[in-house]
Amino acid sequence: MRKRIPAILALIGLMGGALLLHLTEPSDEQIQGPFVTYARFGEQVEGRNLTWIAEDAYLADRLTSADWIGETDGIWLVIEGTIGSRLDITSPDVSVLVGERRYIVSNRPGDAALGTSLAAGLPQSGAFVFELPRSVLESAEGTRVTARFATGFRVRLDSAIDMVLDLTSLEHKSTVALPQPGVVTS
Amino acid sequence: MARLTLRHRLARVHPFVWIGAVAAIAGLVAWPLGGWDTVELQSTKTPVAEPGDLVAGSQFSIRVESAELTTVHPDGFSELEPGWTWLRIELEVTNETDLTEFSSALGGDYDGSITIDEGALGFGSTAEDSESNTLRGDPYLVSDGTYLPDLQPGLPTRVEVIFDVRDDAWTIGDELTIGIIDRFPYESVLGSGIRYGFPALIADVPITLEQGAQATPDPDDEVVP
Repeated sequence: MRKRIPAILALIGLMGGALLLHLTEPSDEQIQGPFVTYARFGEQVEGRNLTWIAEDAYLADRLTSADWIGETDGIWLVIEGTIGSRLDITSPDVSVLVGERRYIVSNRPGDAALGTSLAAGLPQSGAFVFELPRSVLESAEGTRVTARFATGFRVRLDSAIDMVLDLTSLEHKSTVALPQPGVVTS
Repeated sequence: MARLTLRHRLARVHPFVWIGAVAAIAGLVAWPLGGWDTVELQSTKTPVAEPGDLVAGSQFSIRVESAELTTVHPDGFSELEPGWTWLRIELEVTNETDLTEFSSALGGDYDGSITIDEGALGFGSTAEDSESNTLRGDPYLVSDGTYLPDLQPGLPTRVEVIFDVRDDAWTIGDELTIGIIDRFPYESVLGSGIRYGFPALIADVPITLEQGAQATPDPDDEVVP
């Protein structure tokens, strides 16, 4: 019997190791997930291709531009900043994650908001605009919302720039004239 | 010889005789009621909703607001071909999914969320537009006329769906039946995430066709005798 003890201990050790390996194995999502860089106001952050400087974020009941008036039954989330592409022409994929729900940047303002294609080396300043239900302001999820700036909808093995916002602490304005998007020349 | 009890006598009756007896009794019951073909299975009946009622779905919850014939297009510049007019259906659509959805499919023939008069237009339709293309309803946002507006999760959105229709297809006062088509979530096999499929009619909304806005004739177009 004593002769078998080392073999039994070795078996238990191997089984424990296998269990530990199994429990700590990264999921497919983790293996293929994005490499996230976190953004803060006033700081330039870079992904593989995108660059982003956040300047301001606020809520608004109504938005206007030269040829558009944006009424909503919900609420507008506006994130102002400068976004650029370092390598090639790209259309940034920008969305806001509220709990399990993902809101793509609104197409309603048209050219009055950021979201169209970026030429390499020519960053654009302006605002990204999201239309959200008012209920998010009263939900717990509204206190930790993630805005994601990436080059694709489902980012796999590529970079993404995330920015965490507390919607309940943002300034709430009634009517806002959107800043006209433009190329930053300096 | 032992005397047979009633139980034993009944047990000796052939099963086919029992089946025949049950069928005969069922037939006698059904005869005065008009026959079994008049009995409608309740589970196959489509619920009927009123205009303005919210029809809750898995993908979209839809409220049918109005239906009208109009000669004014929401884009402000489209012009009607002779013999055609526009059918305008106003809906309030709430995206019940977790992702922003595109409204482009709402009035589609194979991917639509409404069907008008059991497939005359919208889902299931084979109708063609004035240019002989497959007819799809074009969605516009009511508040600002945005074409193909996004449908944000949980946000009720007023959308008008515009169909090209022949001007003799319907008249003001006709009753249309707008069927609400819902789709159900399933795990994507080829891609990733949740997709919506298996379209099913979940409610019919009868609605009276109204007169919509009429375009004023351009004085420059008047024929001078």
